[in-house]
Amino acid sequence: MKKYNYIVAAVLLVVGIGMIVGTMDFPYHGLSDIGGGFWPKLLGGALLLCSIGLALETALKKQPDEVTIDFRSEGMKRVLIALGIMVVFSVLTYILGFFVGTFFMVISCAILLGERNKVKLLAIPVGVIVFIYVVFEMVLHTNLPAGILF
Amino acid sequence: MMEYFVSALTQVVQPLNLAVILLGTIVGILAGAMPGLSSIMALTIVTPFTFSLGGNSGILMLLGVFCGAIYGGSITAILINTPGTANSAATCLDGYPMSRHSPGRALAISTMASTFGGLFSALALFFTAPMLAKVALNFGAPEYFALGIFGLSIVTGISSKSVFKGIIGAIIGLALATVGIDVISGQPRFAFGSVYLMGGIAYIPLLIGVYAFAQGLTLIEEKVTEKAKKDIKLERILPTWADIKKTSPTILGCSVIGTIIGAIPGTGGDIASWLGYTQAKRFAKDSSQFGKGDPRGIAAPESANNAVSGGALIPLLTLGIPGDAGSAVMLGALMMQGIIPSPLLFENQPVQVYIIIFGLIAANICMGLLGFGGIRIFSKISGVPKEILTPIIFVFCCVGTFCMNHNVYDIFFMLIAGAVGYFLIKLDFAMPPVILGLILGPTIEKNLQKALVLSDGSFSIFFTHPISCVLIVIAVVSLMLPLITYFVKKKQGKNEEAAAE
Repeated sequence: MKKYNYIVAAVLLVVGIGMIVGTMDFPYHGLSDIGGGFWPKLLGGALLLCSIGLALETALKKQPDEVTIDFRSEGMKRVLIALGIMVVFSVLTYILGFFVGTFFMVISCAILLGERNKVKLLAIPVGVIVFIYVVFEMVLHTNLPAGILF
Repeated sequence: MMEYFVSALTQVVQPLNLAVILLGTIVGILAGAMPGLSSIMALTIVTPFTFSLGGNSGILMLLGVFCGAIYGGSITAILINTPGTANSAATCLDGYPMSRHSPGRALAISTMASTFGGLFSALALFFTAPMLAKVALNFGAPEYFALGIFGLSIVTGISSKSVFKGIIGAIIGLALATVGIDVISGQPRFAFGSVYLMGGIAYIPLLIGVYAFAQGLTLIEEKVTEKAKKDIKLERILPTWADIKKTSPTILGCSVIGTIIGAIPGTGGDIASWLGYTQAKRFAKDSSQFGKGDPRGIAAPESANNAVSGGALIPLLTLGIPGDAGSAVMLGALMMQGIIPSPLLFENQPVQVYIIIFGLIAANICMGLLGFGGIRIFSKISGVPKEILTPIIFVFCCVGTFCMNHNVYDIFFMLIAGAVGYFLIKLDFAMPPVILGLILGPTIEKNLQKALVLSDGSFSIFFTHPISCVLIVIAVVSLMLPLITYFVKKKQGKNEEAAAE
């Protein structure tokens, strides 16, 4: 975990500096009129200090390195594939609409989780889509994303 | 006062409202009974749908989910030794051993204790909240600022092993709250020219992302293949008179514990249930049967964790400070329905307050009725395979997110927040401080500005006001506590080593 702690600390350090720099040109008329930039600057400074604290805490820790993220494990590979599926789902939803995206996502996730029964693979997304359509489109009158093509 | 009670009660008992409470409770029990789904996940997914129902019905449905999910977790804890939620982990200790020979008896005790605990805390809310609100009416800007910091510090102090990670979580939440147009100066902050970000970071996509979508990713990572398809036959659904007599003092005591724990910001059902269990064991005349199926070992954690529901609403409704992550979701939902929890809520919207209180009572009654009547059906829910459940969770995450603003970019934001949240959780960053930071951020910033204007730019205002001073001192102590404990333990260890030598 040590390596990841350092990465997180470095990212937060940059974010903290970014928050301070990003609000530098905000008007400030003393503590009785702090304007919109004082609070983000304060938070940026606190984030900066805490990221240094996290890095120091990690460096001073004598306990063995606990690996909590193993990108080579089967479980993590599944998570990364699932995230890939969600990216494709987002693109499909944006272009072709929610129902097309959902059909793809439900089938892909079910396969990813080990479902091989073809009837189930077809029945699950169809069932989910019909349920969502009836409840949201027909009963609650919510227009789900139709996609930029339609 | 009486007219507020009557008005609130009339609204709660309307058939539509009773139906949505019942539906919410069913959804909550089902979500709680499925290992891997949490009460917060159920609340976050259901919240956007409640907007379609309109103000009071939506809130009442959420209360049903809130109560049902806590209770639902005990069903699988008792039947298959797998707690549906973290709140029910302690129930496994005696629930599972008893269920091996009499599952119906174990579930009946759990239902009875849960219902009593929930009703007790709802009544505690009814009697204590108005009094606390009266005291809080005297709060000014310094007190509100200190209260916000206090609420955040309590959550931060206990939610992560590393105090820095806890504080970082809270700062991330506060920083996210600064995104968008600043309400006082009117200047855009960290919007990067994006129209979407100008409006600020919305609670619901973030909540659904970090609690529901990230949880779904964890289910995918774990991919639990063994299915609990045990055919369980329940021999009874109601508790025996002997069990009622034996567990009554435990249930009463643990309901008090749960209500108090719930009212302390940053705690939750898991802490209450373990504390209830250990206290019941400590004060039992004969504790030899604990861990082997003692009815008090089921009654204690279940009454304590369900009592958290009303307790957590005490600081939420009176001060606007959520007691736990579940009530943080409730706070977000209430604010979106136009109900701003604060001491003024009791002055400005008394009927709404009593609708929430009576709604909680009704939800607990529904939970009891459903528990005793539908336990045979709910006991089968743990068999739903993950390969079906997980994609459905993802679909509901997306639909729920979209329903709030009808903006497809909310779905994309939710997915990004969930992915980032998943990796942060893996690295031991807790999510409650992030959410609380986002919710309390505007209140803290606004009151900091107001207090500084009042004091002509002097920070001494926070220390010259007694309540504000006490809250800030407690906040600092709670943040320092992990460090103090660390050094005390280290010193103790050194002393023991020296003594051994």
